[in-house]
Amino acid sequence: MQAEILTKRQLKSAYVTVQKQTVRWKEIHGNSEQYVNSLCNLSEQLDSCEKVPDDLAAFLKDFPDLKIRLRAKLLEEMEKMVGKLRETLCSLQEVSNSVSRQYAASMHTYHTHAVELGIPKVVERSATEPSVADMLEWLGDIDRAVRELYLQKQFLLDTLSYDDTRQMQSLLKKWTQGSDLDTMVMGILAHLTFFLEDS
Amino acid sequence: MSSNLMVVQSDPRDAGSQRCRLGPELMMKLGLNIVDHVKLSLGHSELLCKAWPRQDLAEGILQADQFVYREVDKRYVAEKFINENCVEKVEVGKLLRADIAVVVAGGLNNAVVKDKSLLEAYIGQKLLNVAVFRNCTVSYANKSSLDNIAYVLVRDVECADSEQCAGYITKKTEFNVLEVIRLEQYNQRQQSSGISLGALQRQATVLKEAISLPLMYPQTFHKLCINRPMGVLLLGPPGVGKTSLVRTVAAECHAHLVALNGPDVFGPHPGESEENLRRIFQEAVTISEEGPCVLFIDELDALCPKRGGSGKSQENRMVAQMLTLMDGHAGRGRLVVIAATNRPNAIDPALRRPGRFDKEVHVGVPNQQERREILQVVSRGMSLAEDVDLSRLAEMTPGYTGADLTAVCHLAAYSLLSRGQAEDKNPTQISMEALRKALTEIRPSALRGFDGTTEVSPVGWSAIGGLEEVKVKLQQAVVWPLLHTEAFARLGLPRPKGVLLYGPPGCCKTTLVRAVAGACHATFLAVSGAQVYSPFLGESEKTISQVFQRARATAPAIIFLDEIDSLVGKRGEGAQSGVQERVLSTLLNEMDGIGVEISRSGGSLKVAEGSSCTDEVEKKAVPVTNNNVLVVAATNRPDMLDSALLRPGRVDRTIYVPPPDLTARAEILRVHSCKMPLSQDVDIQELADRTSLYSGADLENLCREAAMQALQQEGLDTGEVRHVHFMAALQDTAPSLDEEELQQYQTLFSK
Repeated sequence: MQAEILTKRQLKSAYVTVQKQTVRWKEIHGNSEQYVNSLCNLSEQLDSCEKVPDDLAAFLKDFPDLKIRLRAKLLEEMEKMVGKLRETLCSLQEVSNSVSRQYAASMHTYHTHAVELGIPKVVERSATEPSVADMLEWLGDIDRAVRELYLQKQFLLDTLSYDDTRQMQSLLKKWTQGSDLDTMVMGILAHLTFFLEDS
Repeated sequence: MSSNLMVVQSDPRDAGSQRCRLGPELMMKLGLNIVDHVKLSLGHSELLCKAWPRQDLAEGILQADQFVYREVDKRYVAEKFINENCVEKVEVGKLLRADIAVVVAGGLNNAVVKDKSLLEAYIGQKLLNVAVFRNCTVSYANKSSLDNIAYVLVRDVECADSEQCAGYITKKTEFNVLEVIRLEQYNQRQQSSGISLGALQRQATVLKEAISLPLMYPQTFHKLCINRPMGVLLLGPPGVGKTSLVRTVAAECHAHLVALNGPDVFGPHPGESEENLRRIFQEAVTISEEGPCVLFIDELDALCPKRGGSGKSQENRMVAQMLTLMDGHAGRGRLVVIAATNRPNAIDPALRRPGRFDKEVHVGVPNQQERREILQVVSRGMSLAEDVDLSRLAEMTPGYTGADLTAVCHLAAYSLLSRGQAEDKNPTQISMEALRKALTEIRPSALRGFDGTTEVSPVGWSAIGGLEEVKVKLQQAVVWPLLHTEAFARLGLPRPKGVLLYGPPGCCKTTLVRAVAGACHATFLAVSGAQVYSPFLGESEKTISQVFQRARATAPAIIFLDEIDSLVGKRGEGAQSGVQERVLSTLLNEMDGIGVEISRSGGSLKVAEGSSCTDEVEKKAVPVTNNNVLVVAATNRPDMLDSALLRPGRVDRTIYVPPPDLTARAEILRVHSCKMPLSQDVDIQELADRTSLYSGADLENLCREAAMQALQQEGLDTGEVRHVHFMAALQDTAPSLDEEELQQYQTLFSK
């Protein structure tokens, strides 16, 4: 009996954390979109700047290194934006890590009491309360989904190149892609409403 | 008690979770807790999974995520039901280190893939908590992801506990990326590992040299100032394995293979075909910058036919584009173009010069030794009965190509299967008999759909009465050179090129030749006058030379010219049109071997004139007897033949087939009457006595006539043929030969 209570308590705290972290993820992600937007914007400016022919107008002769300066300026701005995005990435990693820790802790608690619990107990579910196996499974799913999303963002930043306009233009779409994490977690938490309320 | 489990496709939600869904009772029975690792042996692959209870708690169903697996046997079809014993619990510890290869889709140009340490860190995070074992594959093929990583191949693992062979990945696991592979190349490797080549080693070596030498010794190539080989042209009849040769070699050299099918390139609009061609070349060039690449053009004759012929401008432009592309990419990058064709003479000659297709490799119809190797390869996976003798089978299959031999083996297996179904038992082994039967059904593809030849069904020696002397002569002249080539080579005896059978009509010359065809396992091509002659100018000669070409390709072969006097008569006689003369001269040329052309059989070693022939070469060359073509002609008007045909060197042996003598006549009568119910009083010996000057055909007719007489005299329900009937038949039939004629035949060549 002790084992079941302990496991469920751990699971409950894990899901509470997940709930908080999801909200945090959403917030961070929402904030990051503006950086991506401005990054796209800057890249477009850079592209336009590159396209200006060298012998365009007479007045450019007075400012011979205007183009180079402009380019340097734009690149500096872009660097700044990418720096911001890197910071975002760090916070997202924290979220991911905290979810992972909860999952690992829950698994650990289950494992220490696995023999005592036995399979029939683990798969037993009621109208108001999902089984332990279900909850562990969902927790695992959330953990994987969060890490996957985090990895995608990391990959995007790692492969970013300032001169590749086409890549830059599609960045926003790729960045927001798969942000249905929220829906997924909400769907799972809906199953757990009574379990989490019950103290 | 163990029960069966139904294997069901895994839930898409489980993809990438490495879960294996089992019923809770089964989990209890196997002593499994949630997330305990299990190994599933599914016949075609082994899976490493984590045990989870099913959500609906149903028993008897197994749903495993195909995430971490190792392929065991690809030919094994996945079964619907498996036994519980296939699920096995394994202990898994922490993984310290892993050697991996990464398969990436769509180009290797992004920063993460290029930077090894970045990639290692990335993979480490991606695979966190996944359990792997040695030589397993982690598949991301079904999930679209930004990083384009399709598979991670785990080559070697090192666990914390050295006894364990599987481990799960933690944050501290070290990765070592051995290689990064393109997805296309990985797929090719998976496919081509199934192909295996029998024979063809010589050709494979040439191709391998062309592909890998420039890669292995780039400096030397530079120093010697030679261009790397650009193109290799494979020539040979269909079905000998040109395409599979290229695929295998490309796989062995780890080269990427871009296939270009001639007909695929053509588009409906002007300029589109050229554009397609340029695009494919460009693709190959791009890939060749990353690694060795082979551009394989199958059926080159369709793509680049001879220019200027029928004035089709599109094809001309196509050839021109091809030439430009070949020149443009020559010696640059690591691109090798290999083309295959079975009609080398239809290709534009401009392509066949050094600098474009530098090398031409002949892939010929396999000889006996090669056929044996092919049979071994083909039947490797089959369970053969003990009486199957592959060398014997190889001996029996002249002219069969690799594809034919495969078809023979498969047909034998199929017939076994259908028979097993009829008798309601499981067939287990392929017997020699089944293979023999399959042989009769599948004709060598080299001889299929070919004008100018007729089918000849072989008969046994015993079906011919008498003529013992002639039989021995014929065996010496025809069967020995084909079956005992070593003995002939040992004595320095040249093989006879032609044998002429002559004699009065109806003395079974044709039947003798049919018996020969059955006795030696050679390709048998019977040429009939009706099919050789055609109303078109030059067509007849072409047919003759084609027959010889075919015969050379499928050597050893016998070409049988029946009634040769009507096919080619004497020259310079009468006001005939020149067709016969031209056919004759073609025949003479072909017999002299002047017409040797494209279809040289592979495997022969050519020794330059005057160079000393080493022992080794000789040994190798002896069993590989090509150009082993024997012309057997039959006629009853030897005086009508051109003397040029009859000289030694062309027709070396002339064999007189005499009319049957006394004993032979008795024998022939016995052969023909063996199916008749003869009455006791029939005296074959007396009949033989009274039928001098009767030919074999006459005697057959006599038997038939006697049976008819019996029916006529005794009524339709008679049961036997009596001596009187033979006597009556003798009255009715007259001998077709006469003394004078026979005298002529005998004096003709006895001078």
